[in-house]
Amino acid sequence: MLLQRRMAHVEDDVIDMTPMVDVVFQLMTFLLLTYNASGGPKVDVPVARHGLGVEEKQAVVLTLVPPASAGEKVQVYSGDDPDSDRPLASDELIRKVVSDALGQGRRKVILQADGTVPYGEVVRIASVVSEVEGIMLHIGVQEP
Amino acid sequence: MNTWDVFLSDRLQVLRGLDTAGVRAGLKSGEFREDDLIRPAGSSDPWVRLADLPELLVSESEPEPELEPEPEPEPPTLVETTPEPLDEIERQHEKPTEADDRSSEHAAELVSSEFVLDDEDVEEEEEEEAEDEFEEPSWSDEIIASESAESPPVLDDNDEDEDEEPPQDSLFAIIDEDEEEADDEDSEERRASARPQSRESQIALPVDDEEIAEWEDHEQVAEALEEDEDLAAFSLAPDAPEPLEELDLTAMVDVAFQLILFFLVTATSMYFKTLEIPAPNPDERSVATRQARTLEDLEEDYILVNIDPRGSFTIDHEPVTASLAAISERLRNARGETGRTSMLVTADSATILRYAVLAIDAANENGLQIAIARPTTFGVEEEAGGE
Repeated sequence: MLLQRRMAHVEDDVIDMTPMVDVVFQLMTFLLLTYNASGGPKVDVPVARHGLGVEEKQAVVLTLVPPASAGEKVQVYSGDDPDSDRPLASDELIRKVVSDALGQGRRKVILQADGTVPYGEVVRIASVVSEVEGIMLHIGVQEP
Repeated sequence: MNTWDVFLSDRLQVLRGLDTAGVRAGLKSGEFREDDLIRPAGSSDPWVRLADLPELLVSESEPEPELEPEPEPEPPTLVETTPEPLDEIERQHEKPTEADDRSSEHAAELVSSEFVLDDEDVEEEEEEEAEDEFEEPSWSDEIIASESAESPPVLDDNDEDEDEEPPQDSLFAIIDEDEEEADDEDSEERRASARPQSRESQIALPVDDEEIAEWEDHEQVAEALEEDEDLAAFSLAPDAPEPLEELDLTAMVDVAFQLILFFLVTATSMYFKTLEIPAPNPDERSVATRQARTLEDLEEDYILVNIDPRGSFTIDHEPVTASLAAISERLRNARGETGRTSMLVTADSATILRYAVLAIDAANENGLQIAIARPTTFGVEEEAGGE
């Protein structure tokens, strides 16, 4: 009699790490290419449901930070300024930044104002920016 | 009248009950050869070669022809010639000769012989013969060994009978007996004649019924072994899981991520969500150029939304809850009742931007045009219309 006992198939339990390594490198490459170190102050813009999307390449961003104390003027930072820690000291600089951006084809001006910024200051900055002809004024909001 | 049994070595066929004339006729016609075996019919005498019975070769009535003396048979090359290498010997004996082909062809004619054989046995024997034709003959070693030995080699092409004693009536027995007699009688010629001269005579020799029965027993045993092997293929152990055909998805993952990366890089990187507001007219900044309008004039064209520094809303002088739903509903009603399609937002300078954005968002929800009043401490001044 030749009763043969068949050996059970030994399955390999080792997980192949190759695809995971590939995914990790893909993610790294993606982050390296898309990472944009955006400095500057962080503001909590107001919430709105019916907003318009504006591409960053088509707009110049002015960040309005609430003053430290009441009665003081709002601080305006420019998104194009490499030294984002230095606010725009005067209205002339604000107009200059906007006009330079307009020369680069960016007609839209986005006022990224904090929700606690006084409405009067926002209107004042808007009036300064509107002195540059051909611009379109936007107020930055966020999704609810 | 004598009758004879003739065994045809080439066809492995036994013809029984032939008379002497029939034997002579067969020899004359070429049907029988000298190497064929013969014995008295119905007897158990050992088989002898036809050539060893010269009386059968010559007819009594016919004058004996003058036969040329038969040349002495050449001694086997295995004995007198120089020993050949084993490979050469094997090569010589492995070459299929015409006799082998003829024997293989006539193997199927075993059915017509008086051997009791079944069809299955015939097929098995044919397979065995086909295999045996090119197998290394077992007597090759014996041949080499016999070179140094005085006794002639005992050729046996049937391996199954190796362990069995050769039947008494077989040719092997004759050879053995002759070998014994050769020592006594010193008859090399008789030994050479007993030894097969050609390959044809090395084929299986006729056997008796007893041998046939033994052979059938062997077949039964072989069948039993084959059945066991069939049973052995069955196993109670669970079958091993079939190897799954796995599809390597690594390449597909790589391509998918390549596409994702491409679209991410080429697509727009960042979007800002914004509310478009009308830009103030710079030409009207001076007081002299401003055109002040009274509230009554503005109420005809605009839906007035007023926001105080505390965040309280009034629409057309009516208080409204500071929520997007309530403000939107009131604006919708006001539009439907009066047909006004524009909204004027008036707020104090100290009002925070969040409330103004709430009113603008409600106006966008109802599709109203937006006008923003410049916050001042004295009256309300109309700004440029929005959308």
